[in-house]
Amino acid sequence: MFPTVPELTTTEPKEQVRLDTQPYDRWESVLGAVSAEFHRTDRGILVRFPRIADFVIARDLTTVRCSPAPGADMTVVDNLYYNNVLPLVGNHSGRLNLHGSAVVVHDQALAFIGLSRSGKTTLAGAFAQAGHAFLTEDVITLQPDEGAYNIEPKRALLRLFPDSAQQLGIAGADCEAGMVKRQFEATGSLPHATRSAPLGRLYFLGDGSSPDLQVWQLSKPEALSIALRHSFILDVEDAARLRAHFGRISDLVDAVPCYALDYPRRYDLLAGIVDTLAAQSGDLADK
Amino acid sequence: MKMNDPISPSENVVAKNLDGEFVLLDVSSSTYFGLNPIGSRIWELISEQPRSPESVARIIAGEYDAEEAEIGADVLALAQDLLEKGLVVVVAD
Repeated sequence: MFPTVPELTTTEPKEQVRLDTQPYDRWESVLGAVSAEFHRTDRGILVRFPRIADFVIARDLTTVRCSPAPGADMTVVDNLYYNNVLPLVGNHSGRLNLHGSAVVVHDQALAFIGLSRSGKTTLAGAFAQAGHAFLTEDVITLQPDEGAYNIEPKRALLRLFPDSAQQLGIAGADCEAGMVKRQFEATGSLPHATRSAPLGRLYFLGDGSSPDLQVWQLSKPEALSIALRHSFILDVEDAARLRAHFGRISDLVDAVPCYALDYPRRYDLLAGIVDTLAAQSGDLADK
Repeated sequence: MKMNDPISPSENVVAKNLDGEFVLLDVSSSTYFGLNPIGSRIWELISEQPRSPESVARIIAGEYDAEEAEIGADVLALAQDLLEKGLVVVVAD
Protein backbone atom coordinates (compact mmCIF):
# COMPACT_ATOMS: atom_id res chain seq x y z
CA MET A 1 0.00 0.00 0.00
CA PHE A 2 1.36 3.40 -0.96
CA PRO A 3 1.55 6.16 1.62
CA THR A 4 -1.03 8.94 1.47
CA VAL A 5 1.60 11.66 1.51
CA PRO A 6 5.30 11.02 0.89
CA GLU A 7 7.94 12.30 3.27
CA LEU A 8 9.45 15.48 1.82
CA THR A 9 13.05 16.48 2.36
CA THR A 10 14.51 19.66 0.95
CA THR A 11 18.21 20.02 0.25
CA GLU A 12 20.32 23.14 0.00
CA PRO A 13 19.98 24.86 -3.38
CA LYS A 14 21.81 22.95 -6.12
CA GLU A 15 22.68 23.77 -9.70
CA GLN A 16 20.57 21.82 -12.16
CA VAL A 17 23.40 19.96 -13.85
CA ARG A 18 22.84 18.48 -17.26
CA LEU A 19 21.50 14.94 -16.93
CA ASP A 20 22.91 11.95 -18.78
CA THR A 21 19.45 10.54 -19.42
CA GLN A 22 16.94 11.64 -22.02
CA PRO A 23 13.58 12.66 -20.57
CA TYR A 24 10.87 10.07 -21.16
CA ASP A 25 8.21 12.76 -20.91
CA ARG A 26 8.01 16.52 -20.79
CA TRP A 27 5.41 19.17 -20.19
CA GLU A 28 5.30 22.23 -22.37
CA SER A 29 3.55 25.52 -21.83
CA VAL A 30 1.08 26.84 -24.39
CA LEU A 31 3.97 28.89 -25.77
CA GLY A 32 6.10 25.78 -26.24
CA ALA A 33 8.53 26.32 -23.38
CA VAL A 34 9.50 23.24 -21.37
CA SER A 35 7.90 23.50 -17.95
CA ALA A 36 8.87 20.04 -16.66
CA GLU A 37 10.95 17.06 -17.72
CA PHE A 38 10.72 13.51 -16.41
CA HIS A 39 13.83 11.35 -16.09
CA ARG A 40 14.39 7.87 -14.71
CA THR A 41 17.14 7.58 -12.13
CA ASP A 42 18.43 4.73 -9.98
CA ARG A 43 16.31 6.06 -7.10
CA GLY A 44 13.07 6.56 -8.94
CA ILE A 45 11.83 9.42 -11.07
CA LEU A 46 13.35 12.87 -11.26
CA VAL A 47 10.97 15.65 -12.21
CA ARG A 48 12.86 18.75 -13.25
CA PHE A 49 11.22 22.14 -13.35
CA PRO A 50 13.85 24.18 -15.21
CA ARG A 51 15.49 26.91 -13.14
CA ILE A 52 13.18 26.20 -10.20
CA ALA A 53 13.70 22.76 -8.65
CA ASP A 54 14.37 19.05 -9.09
CA PHE A 55 12.12 16.60 -7.29
CA VAL A 56 13.25 12.99 -6.95
CA ILE A 57 10.29 10.73 -6.27
CA ALA A 58 11.30 7.40 -4.76
CA ARG A 59 10.23 4.32 -6.66
CA ASP A 60 8.05 3.20 -3.72
CA LEU A 61 6.58 6.73 -3.44
CA THR A 62 7.49 7.00 0.24
CA THR A 63 9.81 9.96 -0.14
CA VAL A 64 10.32 13.02 -2.28
CA ARG A 65 13.61 14.91 -2.26
CA CYS A 66 13.43 18.49 -3.40
CA SER A 67 16.53 20.34 -4.59
CA PRO A 68 15.74 23.97 -5.33
CA ALA A 69 17.75 25.71 -8.01
CA PRO A 70 19.96 28.55 -6.72
CA GLY A 71 17.95 31.73 -6.39
CA ALA A 72 14.60 30.01 -6.86
CA ASP A 73 11.64 31.56 -5.08
CA MET A 74 10.80 29.05 -2.33
CA THR A 75 7.12 29.95 -2.51
CA VAL A 76 7.13 28.84 -6.14
CA VAL A 77 9.00 25.66 -5.20
CA ASP A 78 6.45 25.01 -2.47
CA ASN A 79 3.58 25.48 -4.90
CA LEU A 80 5.15 23.14 -7.43
CA TYR A 81 5.29 20.50 -4.74
CA TYR A 82 1.66 20.92 -3.65
CA ASN A 83 0.14 21.55 -7.06
CA ASN A 84 2.17 19.23 -9.27
CA VAL A 85 4.36 16.72 -7.43
CA LEU A 86 1.77 15.60 -4.87
CA PRO A 87 -0.96 15.14 -7.52
CA LEU A 88 1.49 13.17 -9.69
CA VAL A 89 2.34 10.90 -6.77
CA GLY A 90 -1.33 10.64 -5.80
CA ASN A 91 -2.49 9.56 -9.25
CA HIS A 92 0.42 7.14 -9.53
CA SER A 93 -0.77 5.48 -6.34
CA GLY A 94 -4.37 5.14 -7.48
CA ARG A 95 -6.03 8.38 -6.50
CA LEU A 96 -7.70 10.90 -8.78
CA ASN A 97 -6.41 14.46 -9.09
CA LEU A 98 -7.19 16.87 -11.90
CA HIS A 99 -5.91 20.32 -12.74
CA GLY A 100 -8.69 22.63 -11.63
CA SER A 101 -10.33 24.82 -9.02
CA ALA A 102 -13.56 24.18 -7.11
CA VAL A 103 -16.12 26.11 -5.12
CA VAL A 104 -19.17 25.20 -3.05
CA VAL A 105 -22.56 26.41 -4.23
CA HIS A 106 -25.82 25.19 -2.69
CA ASP A 107 -23.83 22.55 -0.76
CA GLN A 108 -22.43 21.09 -3.98
CA ALA A 109 -18.99 21.46 -5.48
CA LEU A 110 -18.57 23.01 -8.90
CA ALA A 111 -15.21 22.19 -10.42
CA PHE A 112 -13.50 24.23 -13.12
CA ILE A 113 -10.95 22.21 -15.05
CA GLY A 114 -8.39 24.09 -17.07
CA LEU A 115 -4.78 24.51 -18.04
CA SER A 116 -2.48 27.04 -16.43
CA ARG A 117 -3.63 30.60 -17.01
CA SER A 118 -7.09 29.52 -18.11
CA GLY A 119 -8.71 31.65 -15.41
CA LYS A 120 -9.75 28.93 -12.98
CA THR A 121 -8.29 30.61 -9.90
CA THR A 122 -9.76 33.97 -10.82
CA LEU A 123 -13.15 32.32 -11.28
CA ALA A 124 -12.84 30.58 -7.90
CA GLY A 125 -11.93 33.96 -6.40
CA ALA A 126 -14.99 35.57 -7.98
CA PHE A 127 -17.22 32.87 -6.51
CA ALA A 128 -15.60 33.34 -3.11
CA GLN A 129 -16.08 37.09 -3.27
CA ALA A 130 -19.78 36.37 -3.90
CA GLY A 131 -19.92 34.26 -0.74
CA HIS A 132 -19.41 30.80 -2.25
CA ALA A 133 -16.49 29.23 -0.42
CA PHE A 134 -13.61 27.89 -2.48
CA LEU A 135 -12.32 24.38 -1.91
CA THR A 136 -9.19 24.52 -4.00
CA GLU A 137 -7.57 26.82 -6.51
CA ASP A 138 -5.34 24.62 -8.68
CA VAL A 139 -5.78 20.90 -8.04
CA ILE A 140 -8.97 19.01 -7.34
CA THR A 141 -8.70 15.75 -5.44
CA LEU A 142 -11.72 13.52 -5.97
CA GLN A 143 -12.82 10.88 -3.52
CA PRO A 144 -15.22 8.26 -4.93
CA ASP A 145 -18.25 7.78 -2.71
CA GLU A 146 -20.80 5.16 -3.77
CA GLY A 147 -21.09 6.25 -7.38
CA ALA A 148 -20.61 9.93 -6.58
CA TYR A 149 -17.51 12.00 -5.85
CA ASN A 150 -16.44 14.35 -3.10
CA ILE A 151 -13.88 17.12 -3.52
CA GLU A 152 -11.46 17.66 -0.67
CA PRO A 153 -10.55 21.12 0.56
CA LYS A 154 -6.96 22.13 -0.08
CA ARG A 155 -4.85 24.99 1.24
CA ALA A 156 -6.83 28.07 2.26
CA LEU A 157 -5.17 30.39 -0.22
CA LEU A 158 -5.63 31.68 -3.72
CA ARG A 159 -2.70 32.47 -5.99
CA LEU A 160 -3.59 35.34 -8.26
CA PHE A 161 -1.87 37.88 -10.43
CA PRO A 162 -1.98 41.23 -8.63
CA ASP A 163 -4.24 42.84 -11.21
CA SER A 164 -6.72 39.95 -10.95
CA ALA A 165 -6.80 40.24 -7.18
CA GLN A 166 -7.29 43.97 -7.37
CA GLN A 167 -10.09 43.68 -9.92
CA LEU A 168 -11.79 41.10 -7.72
CA GLY A 169 -11.58 43.55 -4.83
CA ILE A 170 -9.62 41.20 -2.62
CA ALA A 171 -8.38 42.90 0.52
CA GLY A 172 -4.63 43.40 0.49
CA ALA A 173 -4.33 43.58 -3.27
CA ASP A 174 -2.60 46.78 -4.30
CA CYS A 175 -2.17 48.45 -7.64
CA GLU A 176 1.06 46.74 -8.64
CA ALA A 177 1.13 44.97 -11.93
CA GLY A 178 3.17 41.88 -12.43
CA MET A 179 3.62 38.52 -14.02
CA VAL A 180 4.17 36.74 -10.71
CA LYS A 181 1.23 35.44 -8.78
CA ARG A 182 0.71 36.46 -5.18
CA GLN A 183 -0.87 34.33 -2.50
CA PHE A 184 -3.99 35.57 -0.77
CA GLU A 185 -5.14 33.77 2.32
CA ALA A 186 -8.82 33.05 2.89
CA THR A 187 -10.71 35.63 4.93
CA GLY A 188 -14.30 36.23 5.94
CA SER A 189 -14.89 37.97 2.64
CA LEU A 190 -12.88 35.35 0.75
CA PRO A 191 -14.27 32.20 2.35
CA HIS A 192 -12.62 28.81 2.15
CA ALA A 193 -14.52 25.55 2.63
CA THR A 194 -13.09 23.35 5.32
CA ARG A 195 -15.08 20.21 4.57
CA SER A 196 -15.38 18.05 1.46
CA ALA A 197 -18.36 18.69 -0.76
CA PRO A 198 -20.13 16.38 -3.23
CA LEU A 199 -19.25 17.17 -6.82
CA GLY A 200 -22.27 18.49 -8.70
CA ARG A 201 -20.80 19.53 -12.01
CA LEU A 202 -17.52 19.55 -13.87
CA TYR A 203 -16.85 22.51 -16.14
CA PHE A 204 -14.05 22.43 -18.70
CA LEU A 205 -12.78 25.94 -19.34
CA GLY A 206 -12.37 27.15 -22.92
CA ASP A 207 -9.79 29.58 -24.21
CA GLY A 208 -11.83 32.74 -23.70
CA SER A 209 -12.63 33.25 -27.37
CA SER A 210 -16.41 33.14 -26.88
CA PRO A 211 -18.02 36.56 -27.31
CA ASP A 212 -20.24 35.93 -24.29
CA LEU A 213 -20.95 33.28 -21.66
CA GLN A 214 -21.34 29.88 -23.29
CA VAL A 215 -22.20 26.73 -21.37
CA TRP A 216 -23.13 23.47 -23.00
CA GLN A 217 -23.27 19.90 -21.83
CA LEU A 218 -20.58 17.59 -23.19
CA SER A 219 -21.20 14.03 -24.24
CA LYS A 220 -19.42 11.53 -22.02
CA PRO A 221 -16.88 10.59 -24.72
CA GLU A 222 -16.13 14.27 -25.29
CA ALA A 223 -15.72 14.83 -21.57
CA LEU A 224 -13.42 11.82 -21.23
CA SER A 225 -11.16 13.03 -24.05
CA ILE A 226 -10.88 16.47 -22.47
CA ALA A 227 -10.47 15.23 -18.89
CA LEU A 228 -7.56 13.00 -19.90
CA ARG A 229 -5.65 16.12 -20.94
CA HIS A 230 -5.95 17.56 -17.46
CA SER A 231 -4.62 14.56 -15.59
CA PHE A 232 -1.38 14.26 -13.69
CA ILE A 233 0.53 11.25 -15.00
CA LEU A 234 3.91 10.50 -13.51
CA ASP A 235 4.90 7.68 -15.83
CA VAL A 236 3.37 7.70 -19.30
CA GLU A 237 5.17 4.43 -20.03
CA ASP A 238 3.54 2.52 -17.18
CA ALA A 239 0.80 0.72 -19.11
CA ALA A 240 -0.88 -0.85 -16.11
CA ARG A 241 -1.23 2.46 -14.31
CA LEU A 242 -2.38 4.21 -17.48
CA ARG A 243 -5.14 1.62 -17.86
CA ALA A 244 -6.20 2.10 -14.26
CA HIS A 245 -6.13 5.88 -14.54
CA PHE A 246 -8.17 5.76 -17.74
CA GLY A 247 -10.72 3.66 -15.87
CA ARG A 248 -10.94 6.16 -13.00
CA ILE A 249 -11.44 9.12 -15.35
CA SER A 250 -14.02 7.16 -17.35
CA ASP A 251 -15.97 6.39 -14.20
CA LEU A 252 -15.86 10.06 -13.23
CA VAL A 253 -17.30 11.44 -16.48
CA ASP A 254 -19.84 8.62 -16.49
CA ALA A 255 -21.12 9.70 -13.06
CA VAL A 256 -20.90 13.50 -13.10
CA PRO A 257 -22.50 15.95 -15.57
CA CYS A 258 -19.76 17.62 -17.60
CA TYR A 259 -20.00 20.97 -19.35
CA ALA A 260 -17.90 23.13 -21.61
CA LEU A 261 -17.64 26.65 -20.25
CA ASP A 262 -16.25 29.66 -22.04
CA TYR A 263 -16.54 33.41 -21.60
CA PRO A 264 -14.51 36.50 -22.43
CA ARG A 265 -11.85 36.98 -19.75
CA ARG A 266 -13.22 40.35 -18.66
CA TYR A 267 -13.39 41.23 -15.00
CA ASP A 268 -16.59 43.24 -15.43
CA LEU A 269 -18.41 40.08 -16.58
CA LEU A 270 -17.30 37.82 -13.74
CA ALA A 271 -20.04 38.69 -11.26
CA GLY A 272 -22.72 37.93 -13.84
CA ILE A 273 -21.04 34.66 -14.77
CA VAL A 274 -20.91 33.66 -11.12
CA ASP A 275 -24.60 34.48 -10.70
CA THR A 276 -25.59 32.49 -13.80
CA LEU A 277 -23.58 29.41 -12.86
CA ALA A 278 -24.77 29.58 -9.26
CA ALA A 279 -28.39 29.79 -10.44
CA GLN A 280 -27.90 26.80 -12.75
CA SER A 281 -26.35 24.91 -9.86
CA GLY A 282 -29.39 25.83 -7.75
CA ASP A 283 -31.66 24.35 -10.42
CA LEU A 284 -29.62 21.18 -10.24
CA ALA A 285 -29.84 21.08 -6.45
CA ASP A 286 -33.62 21.52 -6.58
CA LYS A 287 -34.05 18.47 -8.83
CA MET B 1 -5.24 -5.74 -45.42
CA LYS B 2 -7.95 -7.82 -47.04
CA MET B 3 -11.66 -8.10 -46.50
CA ASN B 4 -11.33 -11.58 -45.05
CA ASP B 5 -8.48 -10.86 -42.59
CA PRO B 6 -9.79 -11.34 -39.04
CA ILE B 7 -8.89 -8.50 -36.71
CA SER B 8 -9.16 -7.94 -32.96
CA PRO B 9 -8.23 -5.11 -30.57
CA SER B 10 -4.56 -4.72 -29.76
CA GLU B 11 -3.50 -5.72 -26.26
CA ASN B 12 -2.16 -2.18 -25.87
CA VAL B 13 -5.61 -0.68 -26.10
CA VAL B 14 -8.04 -0.03 -23.29
CA ALA B 15 -11.54 0.95 -24.37
CA LYS B 16 -14.52 2.47 -22.64
CA ASN B 17 -18.05 2.59 -23.96
CA LEU B 18 -19.79 5.77 -22.82
CA ASP B 19 -23.34 6.22 -24.04
CA GLY B 20 -22.73 4.04 -27.10
CA GLU B 21 -19.45 5.60 -28.20
CA PHE B 22 -16.06 4.10 -27.50
CA VAL B 23 -13.03 6.08 -26.39
CA LEU B 24 -9.78 4.17 -26.89
CA LEU B 25 -6.50 4.69 -25.09
CA ASP B 26 -3.35 3.23 -26.60
CA VAL B 27 -1.20 2.74 -23.53
CA SER B 28 1.93 2.17 -25.64
CA SER B 29 1.78 5.73 -26.94
CA SER B 30 -0.51 7.42 -24.37
CA THR B 31 -2.75 8.56 -27.19
CA TYR B 32 -6.50 8.27 -27.26
CA PHE B 33 -9.10 8.11 -29.97
CA GLY B 34 -12.84 8.47 -30.22
CA LEU B 35 -15.12 6.34 -32.37
CA ASN B 36 -18.47 7.43 -33.73
CA PRO B 37 -21.52 5.18 -33.16
CA ILE B 38 -20.90 3.02 -36.24
CA GLY B 39 -17.19 2.79 -35.49
CA SER B 40 -18.13 1.88 -31.93
CA ARG B 41 -20.38 -0.92 -33.15
CA ILE B 42 -17.51 -2.24 -35.27
CA TRP B 43 -15.22 -2.09 -32.25
CA GLU B 44 -17.79 -3.96 -30.20
CA LEU B 45 -18.04 -6.72 -32.80
CA ILE B 46 -14.29 -7.26 -33.11
CA SER B 47 -13.96 -7.17 -29.32
CA GLU B 48 -16.41 -10.06 -28.96
CA GLN B 49 -14.27 -12.26 -31.19
CA PRO B 50 -11.85 -11.78 -34.09
CA ARG B 51 -13.88 -10.83 -37.14
CA SER B 52 -12.96 -9.86 -40.67
CA PRO B 53 -14.21 -6.62 -42.25
CA GLU B 54 -16.35 -8.82 -44.47
CA SER B 55 -17.98 -10.50 -41.49
CA VAL B 56 -18.46 -7.19 -39.69
CA ALA B 57 -20.00 -5.61 -42.79
CA ARG B 58 -22.46 -8.50 -43.11
CA ILE B 59 -23.65 -8.04 -39.51
CA ILE B 60 -23.92 -4.25 -39.75
CA ALA B 61 -25.68 -4.38 -43.11
CA GLY B 62 -28.26 -6.59 -41.46
CA GLU B 63 -28.67 -4.27 -38.49
CA TYR B 64 -29.00 -1.13 -40.61
CA ASP B 65 -30.83 -2.67 -43.56
CA ALA B 66 -28.07 -1.48 -45.91
CA GLU B 67 -26.11 -2.91 -48.83
CA GLU B 68 -23.27 -5.12 -47.61
CA ALA B 69 -20.95 -4.01 -50.41
CA GLU B 70 -21.45 -0.35 -49.54
CA ILE B 71 -20.88 -0.95 -45.82
CA GLY B 72 -17.92 -3.21 -46.59
CA ALA B 73 -15.84 -0.42 -48.10
CA ASP B 74 -16.38 1.77 -45.02
CA VAL B 75 -15.60 -1.07 -42.62
CA LEU B 76 -12.41 -1.91 -44.50
CA ALA B 77 -11.33 1.73 -44.48
CA LEU B 78 -11.85 1.99 -40.73
CA ALA B 79 -10.13 -1.35 -40.13
CA GLN B 80 -7.11 -0.18 -42.12
CA ASP B 81 -7.03 3.08 -40.20
CA LEU B 82 -7.19 1.24 -36.87
CA LEU B 83 -4.46 -1.14 -38.06
CA GLU B 84 -2.17 1.71 -39.10
CA LYS B 85 -2.65 3.33 -35.69
CA GLY B 86 -1.82 0.07 -33.96
CA LEU B 87 -5.23 -0.18 -32.33
CA VAL B 88 -6.08 -3.55 -33.88
CA VAL B 89 -4.07 -6.54 -35.01
CA VAL B 90 -4.67 -9.09 -37.73
CA VAL B 91 -5.00 -12.48 -36.12
CA ALA B 92 -4.41 -15.89 -37.63
CA ASP B 93 -7.46 -17.79 -38.78
